[in-house]
Amino acid sequence: MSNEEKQQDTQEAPVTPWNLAIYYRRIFPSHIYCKWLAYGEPAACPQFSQREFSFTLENDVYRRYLSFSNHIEFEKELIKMCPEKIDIGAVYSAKPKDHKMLSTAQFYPIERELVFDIDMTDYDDVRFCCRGADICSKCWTLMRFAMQIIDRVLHEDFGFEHRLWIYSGRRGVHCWVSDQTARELQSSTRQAIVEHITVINAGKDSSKRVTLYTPLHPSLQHAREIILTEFDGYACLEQDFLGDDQRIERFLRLVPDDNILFYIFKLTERWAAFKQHTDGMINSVTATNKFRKAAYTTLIDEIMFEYCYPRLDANVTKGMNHLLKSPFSIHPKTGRVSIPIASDALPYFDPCKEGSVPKLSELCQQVEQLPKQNEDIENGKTNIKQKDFNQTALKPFIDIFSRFVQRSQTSKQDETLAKSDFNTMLSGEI
Amino acid sequence: MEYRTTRFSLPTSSPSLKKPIINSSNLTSLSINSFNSSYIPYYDTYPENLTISLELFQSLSIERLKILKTIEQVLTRLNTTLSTAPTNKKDEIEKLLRKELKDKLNYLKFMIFPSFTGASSADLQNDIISHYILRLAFCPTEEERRWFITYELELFRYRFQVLTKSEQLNYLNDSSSNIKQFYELVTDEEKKHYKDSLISSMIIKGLVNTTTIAKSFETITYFRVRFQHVPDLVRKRSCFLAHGYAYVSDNDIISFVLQHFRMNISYQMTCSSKKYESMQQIDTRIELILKMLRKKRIHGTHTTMTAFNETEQTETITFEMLNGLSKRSFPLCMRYLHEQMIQQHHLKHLGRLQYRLFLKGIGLSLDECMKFFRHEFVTNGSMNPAQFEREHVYNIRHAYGQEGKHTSYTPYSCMKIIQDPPPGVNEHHGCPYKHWDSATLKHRLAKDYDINEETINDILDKTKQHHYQIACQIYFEYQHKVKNYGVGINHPNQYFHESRKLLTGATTNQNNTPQI
Repeated sequence: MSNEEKQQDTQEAPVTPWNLAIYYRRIFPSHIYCKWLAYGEPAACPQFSQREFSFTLENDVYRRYLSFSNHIEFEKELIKMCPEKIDIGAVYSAKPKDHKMLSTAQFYPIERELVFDIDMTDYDDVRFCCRGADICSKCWTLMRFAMQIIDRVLHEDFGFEHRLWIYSGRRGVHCWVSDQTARELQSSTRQAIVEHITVINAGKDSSKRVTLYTPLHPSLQHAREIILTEFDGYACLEQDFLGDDQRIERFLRLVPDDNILFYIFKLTERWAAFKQHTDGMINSVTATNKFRKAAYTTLIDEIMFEYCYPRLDANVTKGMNHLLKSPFSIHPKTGRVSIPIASDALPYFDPCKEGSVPKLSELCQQVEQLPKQNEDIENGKTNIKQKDFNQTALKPFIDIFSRFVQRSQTSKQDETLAKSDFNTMLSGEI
Repeated sequence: MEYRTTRFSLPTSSPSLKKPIINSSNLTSLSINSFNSSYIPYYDTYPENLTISLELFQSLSIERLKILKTIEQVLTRLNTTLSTAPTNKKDEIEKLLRKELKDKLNYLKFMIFPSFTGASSADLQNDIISHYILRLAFCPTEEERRWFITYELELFRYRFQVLTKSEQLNYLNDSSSNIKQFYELVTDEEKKHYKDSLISSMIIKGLVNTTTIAKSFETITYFRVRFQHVPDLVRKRSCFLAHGYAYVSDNDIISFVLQHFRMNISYQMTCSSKKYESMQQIDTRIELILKMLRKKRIHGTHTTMTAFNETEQTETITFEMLNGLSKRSFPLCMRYLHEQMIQQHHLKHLGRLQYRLFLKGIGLSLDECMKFFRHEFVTNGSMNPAQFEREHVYNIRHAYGQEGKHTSYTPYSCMKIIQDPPPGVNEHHGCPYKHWDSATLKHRLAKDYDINEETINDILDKTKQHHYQIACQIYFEYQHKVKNYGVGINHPNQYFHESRKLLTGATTNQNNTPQI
């Protein structure tokens, strides 16, 4: 079979059971993965053995409440069940696989990374290049805004050190905050964090959804600065958000009085002209027209936020027992691996660039082309696996992941000391 | 298996379930900050080695329950909470509360009507004892715990607001409480450093003018606390955050105090509940009082039917009757869900949950409910039978307590429906008066439900003032051609029962068995 034919094959089915089997046996970084979820404890610690996993098997068969006593069992089952998708849930008060025998008083979530899920479909009303599951480099700017803004809030405002950003494999990103204090947050506090970040009121499709007040909260001031760095280029050039009548109509919903003049602005300078017009309104409107003046003071910011500010799936963050697709899981529809994004690459990462995200089929081809000695892995159990992923396109991403895991373990001790008393107050939620 | 239980341990004595044996000479063991002439104890130490009479035990607990229930009623009537109400409404709440409780209190009068001389140590003792008796009574189930904590917090907030700023500071600074370890005062230097950020963080919804704040900024005391301890402020984006700490002004510090209080009771009651289960017996006389308290909480007054006795049905309802019933006896939220179900042969998840439990509550049996859903989804709709079997049969059985945890779920109350997430695109759950915009509501009431203009205006008026349940009552009165019917609507199933009572003359059995 020639290379080209092979490619055709893989394009038809991005994920095949055969490829998955190779992936889990020779590429999936189970060792580091399990080390991450054990958080510096021994392999058989409750953090790991009481963690819920969910596997999606062939034909959409969901297996929830799976749990594994240690990394060896995890790896064995992973290879045996060969899931199309892996989800990670919470750490429970008992082993999830026993949950049927336990009452709610005995079985409840006790720990969970603080997670965020941002999905491009939520932006459909403000992007004009793609819809639904499609993404391109143009609209991906929205994800880069979201990652930078939320990452800054989590780090500078909330003081979280260990944030893992993941490209989901298709049209969104996830963030896993793994500080111990984050993992122990109650769901009401998680909700408070989500609401702190949320600016766009969902549900009201027709009217203006962002309302700001001057001066902006410091956290929003920073968000504004981040959006400002790219807004003109993104909105005017890439999206051309004032490009046709329909878009202008959508835009005018945000403006307090219908400005017919707007239609005659020269095509290329509409946004600049509008900003000028707003400045004029703010400065000229007399004291009798206080309300209009107030409406204009925050208008430019409100428009920028409406088009660019992050939109979160609040339920994923709120619920401790909510499942979220695991890092290094394969996206069943695209065959792309959910890969970590280096923290310094958040402003640049672009999954639409050719070759930026490894695909299952490519990785499998890469290991299959390796010299023979690596192939009899069923007998050998030593470091072969490690060697295999090191020789694939996944290596740089596993390096990012390892560094993250390493860091979150070395600081564990300091953190335990620092948090000591505070958590006495963060006790059982009711 | 124990999982790091030490993580939550508190440096206070653990709650025990001893009958409080009280000996007045031993009062020093209670953390009463009477030196600060404050009225509020910390409730962080269980009263031990004290003896009181059974009569006092009973009257203290009933009196405190009365206070909490009155708070609940007042807040339900005004459809608000002390934490969310704007200042002018807060005054209204407080006034109403004092009016309702006037001449009704004896031992605990000082809690609602504080005097200038402060509280005596006997007062505070009664305060603490009554608090702990109710804790004991309401620790067994989660719903009771939640109820108790909610209204204890409102009571606490009411009392804390009465204190002057310096009294509040004293409260925070009392060494007998552990609250001191959870905050630090922000130094002048740090305050200066963050000045701009602190000022920008205080402007909420444009209520406060920047220049006035800048002027008063110098006089404000700031506290530095972990952000987890002020979730309310974090949520509203009304405090400055840096490196995991929230900077809280003395105006907002109540959020922190309340959270501390909430955490303490919540944790300790959860512990107590576990012990309560394993307790073989409490003194029968005490047990009787506790049972009575639990019963009183639910059936004490008309307006607080939080649970429904599903056995009190008088009619047998089959799914063919739903069309007729929905027009005559369903509240608008359920009537609308029913119509959507009939029209689209489908409902989204949250709509199914809300409607299904309501149907269960009005007495539709599991079999009938299954028939109804199958009839709509499969027979009239386009769902294939296999998919129905796979995705819906389990859920319907689950709602009836036949699968999973085998809990029979309670139908949603108005409060829950109003507070739950609003319906999104193509979703139909929720409270029409709260979740529909007034144009939609007006249109549907007039077009689809043929209601006269005067009534519609009444309804719209109430919804604008956020009195959703009163709007529902107007709808009820219109549908049944009664005036001033006088039963507050607080549960869709209650609406249904009242309706059936009026239409069929059936009397429902009010002597429900207690829900223990």
